[in-house]
Amino acid sequence: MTERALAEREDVEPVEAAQGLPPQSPWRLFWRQFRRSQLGVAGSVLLAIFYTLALFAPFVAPYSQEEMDRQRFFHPPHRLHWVDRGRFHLLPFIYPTRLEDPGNLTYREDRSRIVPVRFFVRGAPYRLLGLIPSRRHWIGVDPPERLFLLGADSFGRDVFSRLLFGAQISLTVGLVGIAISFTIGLLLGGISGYFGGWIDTVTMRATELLLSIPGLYLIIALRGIFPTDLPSQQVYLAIVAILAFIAWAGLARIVRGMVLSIRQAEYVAAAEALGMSRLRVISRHILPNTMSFVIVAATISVPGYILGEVVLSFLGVGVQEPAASWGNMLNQARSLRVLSSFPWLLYVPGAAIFLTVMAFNLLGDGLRDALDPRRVMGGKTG
Amino acid sequence: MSEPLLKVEELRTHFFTDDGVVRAVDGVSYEIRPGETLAVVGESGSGKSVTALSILRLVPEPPGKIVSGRILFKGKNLLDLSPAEMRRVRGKEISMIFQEPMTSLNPVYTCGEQIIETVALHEGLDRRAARERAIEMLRTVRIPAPEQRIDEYPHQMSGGMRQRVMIAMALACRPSILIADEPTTALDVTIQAQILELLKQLQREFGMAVLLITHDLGVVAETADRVAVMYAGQVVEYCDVASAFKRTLHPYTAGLKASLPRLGVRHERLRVIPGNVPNPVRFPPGCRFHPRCPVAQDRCRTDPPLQAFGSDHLSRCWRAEEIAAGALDPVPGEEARRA
Repeated sequence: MTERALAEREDVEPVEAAQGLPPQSPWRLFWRQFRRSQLGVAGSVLLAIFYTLALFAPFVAPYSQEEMDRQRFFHPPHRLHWVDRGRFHLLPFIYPTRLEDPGNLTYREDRSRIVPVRFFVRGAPYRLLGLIPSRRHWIGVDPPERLFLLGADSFGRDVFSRLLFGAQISLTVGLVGIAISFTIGLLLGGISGYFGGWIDTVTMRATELLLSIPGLYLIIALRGIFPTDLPSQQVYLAIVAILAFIAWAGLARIVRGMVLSIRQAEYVAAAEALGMSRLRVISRHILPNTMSFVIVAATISVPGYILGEVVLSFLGVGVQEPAASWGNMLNQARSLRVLSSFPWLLYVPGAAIFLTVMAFNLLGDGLRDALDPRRVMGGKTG
Repeated sequence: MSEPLLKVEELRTHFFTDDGVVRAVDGVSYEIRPGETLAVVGESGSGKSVTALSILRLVPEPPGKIVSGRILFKGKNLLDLSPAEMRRVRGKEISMIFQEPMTSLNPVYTCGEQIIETVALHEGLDRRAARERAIEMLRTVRIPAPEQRIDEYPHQMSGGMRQRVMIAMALACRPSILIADEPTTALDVTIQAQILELLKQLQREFGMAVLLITHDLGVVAETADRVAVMYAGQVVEYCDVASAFKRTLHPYTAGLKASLPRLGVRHERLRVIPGNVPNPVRFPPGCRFHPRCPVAQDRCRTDPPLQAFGSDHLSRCWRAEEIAAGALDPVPGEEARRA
């Protein structure tokens, strides 16, 4: 036997041996596939980091999202230094800054003394995860100096802190949104496809009506239903409700189509013949078979919600200041002066949105490849 | 003779389509006694499956509708039950297995999960007891190493194994009637024989009645006690299995019989019944078989009644008397060929 043939044999054998092993659940098959998609894994790692940071925002952020510093409007991002006058410092430090030109709001580093960056410093009190009271912050400097890792905005608020707190809103809008719209979409699509007849007609005409209105106008019109001066938490819910209300229609149509074909399968007839109720047949036997599609569709549609929130907040009808969201942070970067003189106000939330949307799309592509039924059934990839 | 367990009386199930009313089941009556096997035989589109689905009230509605008739199960009319009461009959009292073992199990659940679901639903067992029952059922249908296979997914099993799992699901709640809709059609011949043998054994073990829907007269000869031959939505001949083969009283049954391939006869074209099953929207007037019948007469343009010949032998043919008397060969040339 040639060496090459031997190598191939080794490739084959584990597969044969695996057939005697305990059954491979679809979950394990999926995982094996998913690991192969490097971009998908990268996307999911990035998202895991983002969501963890958002979850622990009060701890990671040096300041609260509302804390202003009236001495330091539009302060540029601090540069972290390690070397001061030829001496190396193990921990980074910053130089304090002075307002150089009050007209153009430019700052200059004062190299005469250093301000060490401290970790696990005491600062403003908060409740971690809404439960654990604490004053520790991951990073900070001794007052009265301030640390602006990503600069300050027009009110002298720390952009880095606002980015983290804003992530709590911007990153969850998508999750809560798909939770709502997919529940509605799956249920209505499932019922529509399963029962057919006039139920189907009514549901489908409703979705067509919804889909025929341009999305942005619909969002703004729906926003008009709610009063403009809602407290920020209610605005958040309103945004989610609006976006979910628009998004369910497309999904319901696709799910309906899938249900139409799945309900022809004999296991659906078998479930009925074994005495299961219609709701049970739909929820336990039909809809789970649409899951591989739904998971991918959900992942791909999260960015839509994030961008929807951005649009609403950018137009000033979304999350209201002083609460932060990535959308209303971008809103600050509207004027030409800001763009030319204080570009971090654009780049920071812009990059966060870009990376998140990108990561969700990569994850979605990876999931689609891994969940493709033709591949899962074959067991081996081509 | 014992009381019938299930009695279908003058059942009419029609489908209201854009092309017209499809009279898929048009006045069908038959009965099943406890522990017996009734085979319903017929070509595709003869209404045999729709009759079975009507018994479980699973005809898709719309466009289908049970227009008239009664389905008496243990004396009560299933057509009068509420949907919730009907669900307690399905799977618990009357179960059904299907033709296509490749698609009759849900690919997203393990085999065990699907049995457990049924048992938990009808008998209110907790999960552990239901799992015990599922393992016991897999053993009953002769699946080796049921403790391991219970956690396998359908795609890991062969067609024969899946059909066994399907049977285990259907029998898990000890129904008194099992409706088997072409249970072996999609299997290869050796597996077919195993499954039929298994069904027979289980029938004896559980004492249940079987309504076997098939187009395979070979299967009928092996398993059935009684036979109902259906053509174009009607029962055309109804008798015990021996009479169906020895004393055929309807030209259609005779034609089916003649079209069976015979062992040991070489270089022979298979005989077929000429023509096609009539369009169900416009059945021919009179006897629905007469345009294809080799011995049709003018009289056959009027509706023949379902007449009794001897005890328990019914035939819907104007010339059944002549056939019974031996004066008419229902498939001309066949006797000579067999000889």
